Amino acid sequence: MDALAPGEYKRYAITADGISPRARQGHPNTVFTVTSDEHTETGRIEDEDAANRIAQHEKRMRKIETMKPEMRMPEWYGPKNAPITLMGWGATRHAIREAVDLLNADGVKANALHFIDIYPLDEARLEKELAKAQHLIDIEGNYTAQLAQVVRVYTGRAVDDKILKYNGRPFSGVEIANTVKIRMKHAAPRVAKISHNGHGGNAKKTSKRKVHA
Amino acid sequence: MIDVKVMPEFKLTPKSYEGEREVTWCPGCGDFGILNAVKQSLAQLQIPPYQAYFVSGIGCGSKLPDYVHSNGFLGLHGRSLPMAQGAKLANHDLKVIVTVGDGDAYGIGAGHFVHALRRNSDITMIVEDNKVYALTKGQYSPTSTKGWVASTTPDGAIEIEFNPVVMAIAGGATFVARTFSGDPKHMAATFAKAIQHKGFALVDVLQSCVVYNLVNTVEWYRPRVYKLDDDASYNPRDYNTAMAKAHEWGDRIPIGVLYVEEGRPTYEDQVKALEKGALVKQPLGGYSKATWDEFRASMM
Ligand SMILES: Cc1ncc(C[n+]2csc(CCOP(=O)(O)OP(=O)(O)O)c2C)c(N)n1
Repeated sequence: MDALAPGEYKRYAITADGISPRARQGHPNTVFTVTSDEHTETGRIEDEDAANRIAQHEKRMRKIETMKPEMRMPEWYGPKNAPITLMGWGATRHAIREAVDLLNADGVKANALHFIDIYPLDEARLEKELAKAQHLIDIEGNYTAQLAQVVRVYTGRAVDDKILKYNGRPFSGVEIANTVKIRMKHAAPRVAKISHNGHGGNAKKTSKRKVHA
Repeated sequence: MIDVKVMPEFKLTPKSYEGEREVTWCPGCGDFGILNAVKQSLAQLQIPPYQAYFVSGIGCGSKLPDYVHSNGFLGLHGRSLPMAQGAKLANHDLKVIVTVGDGDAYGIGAGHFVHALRRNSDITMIVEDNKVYALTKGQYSPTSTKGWVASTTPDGAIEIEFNPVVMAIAGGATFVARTFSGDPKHMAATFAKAIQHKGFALVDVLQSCVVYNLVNTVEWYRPRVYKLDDDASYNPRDYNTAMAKAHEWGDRIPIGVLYVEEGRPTYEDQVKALEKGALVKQPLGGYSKATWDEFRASMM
């Protein structure tokens, strides 16, 4: 701001990366308004001019693209290439980690994929991480499997099983480990895929299909 | 945006605060007079545009900061006070002035209003009180008269009207005034007093709305309002006197400074972190990026 001539500063300047340089109000070199209404580059209300609206809205949306590479991918825990992956987010993190340790100690090879940042979701990078999971089990403390839905909407990857808890109490590691064991006992083995031309063939390990319908 | 026109040796006039935007209020709206009076009062006090900070919500009245050459934050409906108090905490060198409608202030913003009263931030709240929700086409507001017929009250408003000045005095405001959009000089003088007051100052402006309030017009108010400022015997420092005056309404409506309490420390006076000066001018706690990253990681 010190370097700017009076009146030069534009709070909502149209930029390539969508980020307009932010100055603090109260500097002698300029005055400006910020507004929740659609605005001009200088922060004045302008909701009648469609061209202005398009320019400002596209600028804001470009900011999302700028953010994507900075988003953190879900973190892996446990052995690589495990046949079972437990997927979760938020406060289930430690219970899921405990479950992974218990399962591996019992000879059931499993790992965990835990989400930290969700939006803006970087689909391309996330697809690569999900491709590493084989039997993907969603662990969530809600009825509708919110994370599994988001993952499916953005990447197309459906989970293979869900363990959902909604009695208002947190998960424990033992509970998750035991449930996984029971589910895996009843889960159909990864079936051979019978193609329409009659040729058999094993489903790829990274198959996105549900294997135990 | 217009270049800063102010130089130290330059005398500020109402023109110094003139915005570059076309004003979109209806011809004849009381808000025009309020806007002019706000500029007059800033000029009277010689406050440079960059040292003022206007905060508003959504509504016709809330558009006022868009028409002033100064800093402003036009936020969400009903949320101007949290913004204003936050701005004052961040930079208490600024003169923070809230300009909102009665719906914004006393309807959706009522919860913020009562706490602002007892908090005593050094800010000025100017309420453009036209007794209706004008921007959204005339629904009844908290200050509408009982029985008020509008689109959402086809059989008349059931609630009794909210009395902002009684509420403000009872709630702990240290400056409570009323003025009238048909009296430019009185408005400018009252705003100047409010801005000068150290502590939370409310000015409720009896504002005409030429489209949606055809009852409480300038012609309706003119014979009813009388100025407390003309009455040397009126003592705004006496709580009970002020309370009694604040209840007066109808054939005679008092305008001017109803209540004032001097000397109560402001909220900002009592925040330790502000002793070293405005927050915005202090360094960021001296923490390195590594410390912040470590702190962030510990929260995960
Ligand atoms: C959260 C929210 N609720 C409702 C609205 C719709 N709304 C916009 S302005 C307004 C009321 C306007 O009345 P007032 O605040 O008295 O201002 P005036 O237009 O009369 O100056 C309402 C209800 C909104 N914008 N945001």
